[in-house]
Amino acid sequence: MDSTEREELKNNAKADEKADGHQKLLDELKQKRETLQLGGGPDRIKAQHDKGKLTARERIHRLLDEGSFQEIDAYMVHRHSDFGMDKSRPLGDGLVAGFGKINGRRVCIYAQDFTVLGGSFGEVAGQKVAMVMDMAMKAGVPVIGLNDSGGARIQEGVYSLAAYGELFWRNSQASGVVPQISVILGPCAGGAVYSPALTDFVIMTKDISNMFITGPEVIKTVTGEEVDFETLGGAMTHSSRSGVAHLVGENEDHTMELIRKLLSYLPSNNAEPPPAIPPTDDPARMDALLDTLVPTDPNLPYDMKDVIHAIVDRDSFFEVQANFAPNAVVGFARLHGQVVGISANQPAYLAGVIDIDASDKIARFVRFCDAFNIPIISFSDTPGFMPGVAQEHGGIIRHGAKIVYAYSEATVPMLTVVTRKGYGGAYIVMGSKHLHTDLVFAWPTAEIAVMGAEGAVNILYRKELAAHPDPQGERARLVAEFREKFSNPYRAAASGFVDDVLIPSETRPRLIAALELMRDKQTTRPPRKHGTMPL
Amino acid sequence: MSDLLRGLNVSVWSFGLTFVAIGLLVLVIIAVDRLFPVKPEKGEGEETVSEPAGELAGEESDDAEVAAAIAAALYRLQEEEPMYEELGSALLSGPGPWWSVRRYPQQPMRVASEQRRD
Repeated sequence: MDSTEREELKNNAKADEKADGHQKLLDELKQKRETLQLGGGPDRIKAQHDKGKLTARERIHRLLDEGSFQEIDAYMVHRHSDFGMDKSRPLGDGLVAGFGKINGRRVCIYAQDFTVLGGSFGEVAGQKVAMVMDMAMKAGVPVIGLNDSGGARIQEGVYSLAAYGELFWRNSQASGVVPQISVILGPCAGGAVYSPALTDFVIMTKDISNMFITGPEVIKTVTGEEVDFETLGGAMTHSSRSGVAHLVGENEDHTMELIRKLLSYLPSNNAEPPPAIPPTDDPARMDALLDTLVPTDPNLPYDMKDVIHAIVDRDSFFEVQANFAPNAVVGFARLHGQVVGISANQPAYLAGVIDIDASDKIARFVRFCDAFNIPIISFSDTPGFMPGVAQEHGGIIRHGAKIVYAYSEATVPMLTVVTRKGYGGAYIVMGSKHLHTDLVFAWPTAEIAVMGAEGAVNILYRKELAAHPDPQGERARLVAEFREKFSNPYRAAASGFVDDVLIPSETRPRLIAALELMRDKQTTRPPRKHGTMPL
Repeated sequence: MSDLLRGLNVSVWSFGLTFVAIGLLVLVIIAVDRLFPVKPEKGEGEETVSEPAGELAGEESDDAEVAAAIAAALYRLQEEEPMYEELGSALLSGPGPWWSVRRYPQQPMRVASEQRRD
């Protein structure tokens, strides 16, 4: 063996050694990645599956476009050692964070992993969520949080509370900047509920999710009331009674579908317009059904959703908070492919009266649309605000004022259609011309007056009716006279409070033409730090 | 010959010549029409052929109903104002410069993590 061969062998050995060294590093990384994928281990994953729930990573992969998820900060571990915490330092600390794409659009996402320390929220989880939210705000993309956690990590004490505080602060900072969606896929209790409550949309899943400040046991101890988890804070409770949940999924897959659909109507941030799609419906389509849909008898109900479906692009209406305050209807739709927010009264439920819950529902939706450049189309048919001691003592004045405030501060294009009753203050608050709505249309069935004909006659002619020999007949005559004089759209149109009276079937093309005009609407507001909304 | 008779004579000859010229023109048109007859359009021919001589009474009434429906639809369309063909076209091009030119500037956001790093 000459010196050249010896040198060659030596070089080969060195190369092998170098390759082995790299391979070892790569193997170590792969091993760590496999460990990460297992979360809390196969037993915990099985237990999660047995409860009918998916793991954090499974959820993320089901929600995002295939192969688009990029995890960050996966190797963070906690630094605490009290209560035996030093014996368990799982990678990622029970929270999976990163970014990816949904239908090709970028999103930031985090998911609490219930298989790791019960998904408890500690210092590291807080830091990870903070980082992913900071990224979302810098990049201008929506944030989605998948919640499934036992709550604050008690062992970490105040550090855990600080983590929640950081999260709440960021939720507030991101509000109105990027859309925030909270998805509840398990328990969400105590202070943890305030993060979802601060976000724009809360989506719960039937049977597996619940939200409450204090659980049934504490309630029983403090107030003596007995209640189960589902009744206290289940998906149906929060979607129908408290109004905390905006959408409810039948199961996890359906919930993921709802998130994707909701996102398809939302812009990625407050500086861009909402996502338009190529129109799929004829802009000049006129549905003859509309011409006869609203009964001429003001006491007969009809379904406002039929009106909405007949006017917006086919199958484009996506209702939110459908079960909460059903006397109001809010949701997203498309007109000629453009996203619009629909805010309406529902005459089929409580005659479309506005109560405390309906006020909150409409005001919040209008504010969201305004924050994210979504034009607002209002369909107004309301006999007024809900009368009653409970409503007055519950603060109907304060809550009703929220609608006025929301419409008045909105700067997006606003269009209103008065389909029938527009009585008193309720007419004013539902996107009337007086709140600087851009264009107000009315149907021939519209009755814009201070109150209904019967009520007005009873007040105006109380003495005359009492003295009349035939009070019933006289009342009927006066009601008919009042109706002819005031209960029509032409009085308001004569004063310019209604821009045009439409044949109902032509509403769609007229709204599209108005939306086209207002496409680039700009208005100025007086400079201020912020208003003092009657919260 | 008096001026009156001369005038009448000239008028009669003028009228006569005009009518003769018109008659000749009509004869030319008839001759051209005979020489180059208008060919029937394909559709018309097929329609004539496809229609059987003896239509059933029921079918005739169906046709009448269809015709009535078309007439009603046409009447309704005439009643309505014609829709502008370009309806909604401005929406398809997305927001224009006016939308962005006066929008408030985005507040630079110094996030807590950056502050810590500083």
